[in-house]
Amino acid sequence: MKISPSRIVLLPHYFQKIAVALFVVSITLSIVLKNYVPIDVDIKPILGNVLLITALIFIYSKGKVEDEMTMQLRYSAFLLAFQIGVMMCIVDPYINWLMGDGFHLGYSAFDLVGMIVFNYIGIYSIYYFSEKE
Amino acid sequence: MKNQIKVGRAILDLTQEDLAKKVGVSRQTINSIEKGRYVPSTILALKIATIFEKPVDEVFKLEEEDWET
Repeated sequence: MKISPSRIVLLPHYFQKIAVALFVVSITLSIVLKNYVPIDVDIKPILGNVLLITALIFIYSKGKVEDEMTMQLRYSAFLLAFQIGVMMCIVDPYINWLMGDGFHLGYSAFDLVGMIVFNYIGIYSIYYFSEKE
Repeated sequence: MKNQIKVGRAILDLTQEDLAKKVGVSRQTINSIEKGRYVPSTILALKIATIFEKPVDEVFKLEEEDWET
């Protein structure tokens, strides 16, 4: 196996705009469906799924500027987001236990993945804008 | 790691933007390397040294703390 500073294959930059548009449309649609359309379907899981897809498209799209430093920022942000996710998994049962709710994880695998993905976006944005001058 | 990028740029009368274009990175990356916030890859360090027509260890110099693990 050749180990070298590799680059992740990313989607073109315009996919970021598509992801943002999809995010806005899905949120708007969910609000409209919830408040104005009498349907018997729980839209929460569908919305969660669409938001996760949106986030993945956003993450895997090139930024305006993409080079080895932004790639390094991506790696660092992902590592920190993953570590936060693992820490939450370790700590959350103790918090529930202390609250008298039993020793169990308070969220699903889907919630955890969503949290890692959105934490990644937040952390990467902080890294990116702190480097940008 | 110390570097002589600012000096090298001044000798060749290059802006950060000019150097960035020549080595194929963003101006922010050159700025971060210059200020010591980002350590470039070997490939990028060699590209910068090639532009300056100097050996890479003249452009980038190890400091005492770089030897500490």
